[in-house]
Amino acid sequence: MSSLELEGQLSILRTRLQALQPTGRYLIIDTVSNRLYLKQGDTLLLEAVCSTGSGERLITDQGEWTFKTPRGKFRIRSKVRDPVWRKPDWAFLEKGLSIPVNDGERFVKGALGDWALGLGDGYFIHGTPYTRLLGQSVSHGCIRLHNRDLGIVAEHVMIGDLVYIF
Amino acid sequence: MFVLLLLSTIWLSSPSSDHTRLQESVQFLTLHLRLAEEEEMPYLLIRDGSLQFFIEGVRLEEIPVSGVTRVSGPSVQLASVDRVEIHFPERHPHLDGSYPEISLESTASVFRIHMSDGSEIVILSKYLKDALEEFLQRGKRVPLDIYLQPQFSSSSLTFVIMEEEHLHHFRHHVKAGMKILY
Repeated sequence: MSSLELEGQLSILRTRLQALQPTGRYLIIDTVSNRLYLKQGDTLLLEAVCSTGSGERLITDQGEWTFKTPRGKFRIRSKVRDPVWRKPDWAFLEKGLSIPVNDGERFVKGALGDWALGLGDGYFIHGTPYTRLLGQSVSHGCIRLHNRDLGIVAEHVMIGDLVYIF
Repeated sequence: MFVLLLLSTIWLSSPSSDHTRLQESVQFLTLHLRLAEEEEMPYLLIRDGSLQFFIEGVRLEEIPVSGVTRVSGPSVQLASVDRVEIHFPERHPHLDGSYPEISLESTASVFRIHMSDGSEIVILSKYLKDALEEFLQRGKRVPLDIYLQPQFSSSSLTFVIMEEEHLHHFRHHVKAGMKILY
């Protein structure tokens, strides 16, 4: 293949890679440094400290859980203002409590901050009362943000926007 | 010496070497596109003196490096991480059987990425590189890669030098199964 043909091929490959770039706003979440980046193209709109999954395991008679934040490409699937947390089984079991029979005992107001942005499979970007722990890997898999940053993120992203977690 | 320098300069800028570089770039970008379209998990590119993490063609982070040296192996490689190993070079003898005089208190100055195809990427902190080079200047006066090469068994070996602060961050991002194109 001649140099000219190779140059042409390079140009095609670059164009195809460029076509994969998100056109709207998107989020990048770094689970090692616990940082969230709100971007549009190459422009950084917000950098925020977050908390991601601790990686710890909970093994009980009633099930096993690993509290990791999943990596890969996701989309914002839901946006809920003033969310109410429905505590999953592990939230009771890790405190040595039994799983409630009455479902009403699972609901907690205010624990998730002002917004919950759903990523699917029970994972959310939400607020936290434990702001002093931001920057550490301490969550059960969700991405915790300070309410101030969460408000900015919620204002800028829409359902369907991309979230890259690595 | 001057003639050799002139010849090497002419060779480096010759059309054939330009053509080879173009071929390598096409090969690299073709593999990158394939990764971008097929790989769902984060992957790593080592190219043009930097390390870059991607998911599906979108660059997530770029980590600056001080240098990348491909000691041996093909010019373009794509493989998965088999395992990552912390390595303590002070425990390994020199070529003459003696041990380095330098004290390396840091527990993560070097780590080795063992790839699924048997190749190896060795990440060294710049601190360690400088310390080793200072040691070598006092003693054997051999280039660092030649000095270090006997300590590694892989027939395909690449050294990456980076600042200590980046090294720790980078190390935690590299996981078994991650694809690396370099």
